Amino acid sequence: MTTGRKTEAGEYVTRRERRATERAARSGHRSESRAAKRAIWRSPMVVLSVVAILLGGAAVAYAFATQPRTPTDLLIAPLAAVPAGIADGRTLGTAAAPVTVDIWSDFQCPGCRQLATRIEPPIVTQLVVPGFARLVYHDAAFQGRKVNTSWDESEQAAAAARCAADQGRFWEMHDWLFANWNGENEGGFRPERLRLIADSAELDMGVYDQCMAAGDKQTAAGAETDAAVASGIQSTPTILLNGVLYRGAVTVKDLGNAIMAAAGTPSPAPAEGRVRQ
Amino acid sequence: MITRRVPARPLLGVHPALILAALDLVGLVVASYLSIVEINGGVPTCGPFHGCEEVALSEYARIGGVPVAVFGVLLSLVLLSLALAWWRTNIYALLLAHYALSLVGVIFDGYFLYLQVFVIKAVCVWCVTYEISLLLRFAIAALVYYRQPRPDTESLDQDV
Repeated sequence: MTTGRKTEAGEYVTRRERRATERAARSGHRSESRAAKRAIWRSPMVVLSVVAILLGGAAVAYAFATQPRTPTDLLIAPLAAVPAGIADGRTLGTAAAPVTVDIWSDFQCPGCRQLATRIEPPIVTQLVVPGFARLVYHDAAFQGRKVNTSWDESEQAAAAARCAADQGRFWEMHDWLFANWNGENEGGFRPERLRLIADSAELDMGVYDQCMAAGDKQTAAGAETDAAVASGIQSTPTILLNGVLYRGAVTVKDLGNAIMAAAGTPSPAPAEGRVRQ
Repeated sequence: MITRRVPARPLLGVHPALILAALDLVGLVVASYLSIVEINGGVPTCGPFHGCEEVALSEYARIGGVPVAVFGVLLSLVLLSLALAWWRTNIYALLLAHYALSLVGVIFDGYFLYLQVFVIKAVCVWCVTYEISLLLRFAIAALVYYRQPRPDTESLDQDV
C-alpha cells in the first residue's frame, strides 16, 4: 500500500521524502542569502566606504590631537608692524595732526578686534602716517565685568597694554592682543596666555611682571572704564573724531571719509585692505 | 574586477566625470585662494559677510603649522586628476577612488564646520563654499556609482 502523495510527474513520494526535499530547498535559500550578504560586504563600495570613514576619522583625530587644548599653546603674530617713530604711549600719530581719533575699546570685544585688525591698518597707513590724524586709545573694558571672576580678562588685558605703554610698546601689545583675541571671557587673556602675548610683543618680562603685580594699571583701566560708562559709552568700539561721536559705519571708506572731512581736506576714500608696514 | 573599463552612463547629458571635475575645479580655486592668502600672512576677505577673519586667525585654521586650506588644495588636485583620468579611461576604480577620497574630505569638513559653528563661533563663507562643493562631489560620485553598470554584471569593453 502506498501512503505518499503523487507528484506532478505522477510519482508517489513519502512524507519523509517530501520533508527532506523541503529542508534541502530551505537550506538552499539560506546559503543563497548568506552568499548575498557576503557579496554586499565584499562590494568595493562598502569596503571603500569603511576605509574612507576610518581615514576621515583618523584625519579628524590627528587634527584634534594636534590642535591646542587651551588658548595658550599657539599665538598668531599681527599682520602689520607698528610704524616707527609716531607712537607715544597710547597715542599713534603726530600731535600736530588736525584730527584726533579717540577709540574707546575693549581687548575682548570682537567689534574692537575687527576695527583693530581690519580698519585701523589702512587708516594708519593712509591717514595717520601722512599726518592727517592721530589715534588715541582709551579703555572701555567692561566685557570682563559680565562674569563674576577674580581675573577680569578685559581689565587685565588693558592693564597689560598699559604696562607695555610704560615700555614704549603699547601699539605692539595692542596688535598682539587683538591678533590673539579668543572669545569673550573664555580664557584668551588668562594670566599665562597674557604673559605669553606680552613676551611675543617683546616686552621686558621682568618689568612686565612687576607692573602687572603692582595693580595700579588695573585700577587705572577700571577707572577709565568707569569714566567711559559715566559719560554714556555703552558699547565698544566707540569712536570720537575731534571729540564728536562718529556714528557712521565702521569701514575704511566711511571712517576715512569722516576723518578727511573733519580735517577739512576732502579726498578720495582710503582703499580697503592696505596694511601698514 | 574594479580595474576594468566600464562605459559611464551620462548624467545631465555629459560624462559624469566632467561634472565631478567642474566641482573639483571650484574646490581647487577656493582652496588655492585661501592658501595663498594665508601663506602670505594675510586673512581672506568675505566681502559683506564676516567670519573669514576669525576663522583664518583662529588656531584651528592650521594643522601642524600648515593652513587647512593647503590640504584642501591637495585633495582637490587629486580628485580633479581622478575625475579627468576616469573621463579619459573609464576605469571603474577611478570612480570608486573619487568617491572614497571625497568621503574622507566630507568627514573632515564636517569636523571643521563643527569647529567654525561651535568653537570659533564664526563661519567662513569660503570654507562653506568648499565644503558644499565637496559634499556635492561625494553625493554625485555615490549617485553615479549606483547608476553605473558594474564591471562584473555588465558587458565589459576590455580588460586593462
